[in-house]
Amino acid sequence: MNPELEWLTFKGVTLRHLKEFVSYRASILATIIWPLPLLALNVYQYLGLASTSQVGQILYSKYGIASFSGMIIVGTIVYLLYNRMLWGTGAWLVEERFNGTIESLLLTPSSRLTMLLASGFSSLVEGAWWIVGVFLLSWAIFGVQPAIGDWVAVVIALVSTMIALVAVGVFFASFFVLTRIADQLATSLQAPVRYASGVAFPVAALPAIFQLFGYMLPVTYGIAALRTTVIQHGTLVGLATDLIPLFVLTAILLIVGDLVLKRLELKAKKDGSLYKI
Amino acid sequence: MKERLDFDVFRSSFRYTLLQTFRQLNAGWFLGLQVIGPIFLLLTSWTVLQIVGSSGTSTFAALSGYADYIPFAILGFAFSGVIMNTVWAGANGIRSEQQGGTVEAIFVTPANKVAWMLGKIAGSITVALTSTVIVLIVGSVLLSFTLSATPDLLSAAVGVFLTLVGMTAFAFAIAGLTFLAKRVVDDINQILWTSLVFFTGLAFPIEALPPWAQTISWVFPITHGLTITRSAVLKGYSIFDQKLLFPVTSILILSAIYIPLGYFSFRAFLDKARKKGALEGY
Repeated sequence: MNPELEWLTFKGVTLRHLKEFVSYRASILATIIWPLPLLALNVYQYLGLASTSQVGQILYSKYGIASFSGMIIVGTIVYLLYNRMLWGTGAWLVEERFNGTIESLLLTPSSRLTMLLASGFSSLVEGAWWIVGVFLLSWAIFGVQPAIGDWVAVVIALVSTMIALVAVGVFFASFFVLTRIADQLATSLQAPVRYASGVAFPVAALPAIFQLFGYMLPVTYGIAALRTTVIQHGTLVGLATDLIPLFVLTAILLIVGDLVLKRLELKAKKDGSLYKI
Repeated sequence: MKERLDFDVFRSSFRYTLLQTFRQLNAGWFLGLQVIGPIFLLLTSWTVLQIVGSSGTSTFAALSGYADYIPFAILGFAFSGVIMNTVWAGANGIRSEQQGGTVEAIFVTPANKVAWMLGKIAGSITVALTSTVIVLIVGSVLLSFTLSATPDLLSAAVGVFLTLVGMTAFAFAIAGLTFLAKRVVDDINQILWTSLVFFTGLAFPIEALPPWAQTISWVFPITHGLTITRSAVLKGYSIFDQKLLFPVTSILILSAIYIPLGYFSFRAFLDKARKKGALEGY
């Protein structure tokens, strides 16, 4: 491994993705506007059934959550990041296939993992814009008051969640290479993941079967960690229950994703089906 | 003779859209976006009701006038496919031809372009109707409820029909924009789609919204179509009932506005794109 070459690969892929992102100014603005109605939908699903104060009381007494719109906003932001990773990093190879450039890409000696990590990193930079934009707009519209007890815990929760979501992207990249209908499968999984990870409510409110599914998803732990630190005065000590499974899942996804990708690429090269991946 | 040719164009475009959606390679998109998506949104509403508890039902009834929230939400999310298809149908029809490099070939033929576009939208509306039926059935089986009145199914069918007419006109009105906005139309539609899901009251009574937001919701034919359908199914109202006068009149007026608006804007945008030589670019 040549660090200088890896760095060049990383920089090249990152810059390319970022340039694509900023090419369409309308898209940059749209990325922070389109999630707002969906976020508002979740808020009004509650407000169609009870007043703001009633919902607040119920969520606090049952789940210890004081800010109900804050709960939804944090959940939505993490879910949006997951989506960005899924379609930014995960589906990146599909885009290369669609453009007819996958064969030349996979014949280069550059590290695949470096390329995927760079793609994930650029998605995170885009994601940072989403986080700040959606949070500020939601704060202005829904009046969320963050309840932060420990800024270090917030940063650690945020960085850990972002790293976990990059791992999700790397894992999905191998999944996308595995089957040509992966994009449809991923689309079909979006709504169940959104539901089971507890974007609009705590996972504890779900039926048992969905809780089980939810606890297998890194998104769930990312949402829980950020909710604890951003709206529930959570500290670093209280974060351990969310961060440990998050790190374990991150490691598993990265290792499995990298291994599967390597094996599939090797197989495709042997039988001459690289262009078909 | 001309009518026959126009009908052939319409039919081919309609069949192409249906085949594209339901063919084995693409069926996953339909399942994921138009069946699984709405069902999980419905489950979200159900879970929120479980969290809020019994007090939620009384607040909901006081706000909306309906006795039970679950059938209200099932009917609402059953229409989410209609929203998705009307927003994307026309634009996607043009965008996919632009990306495939075939749009110029289509638009320089002497075939009727309005018939071609209508065929695409009608195909998407048929797809939406399929998803509506599936979500209604799955939602009703998954989440049990009892109807408090005998449904007036004929009026409900009229409500669905009026919704489809109104939303087809709406789709036509926004389709032509694709010629000029090109890729940006994807962003416009993404915002439009999520806005419609929110403003039309799929998951909650629009009476819960602030007055300015309620005014926005009245601009969309589906808001009124949903009111008619829900009232017919959940309250047993006839389409001629005085209480449905406002939604029925509104949807008819909106359709009467959107149909000519759609027709003329589509023609105008197309002509402009042709004059600028911008048909092919995407």
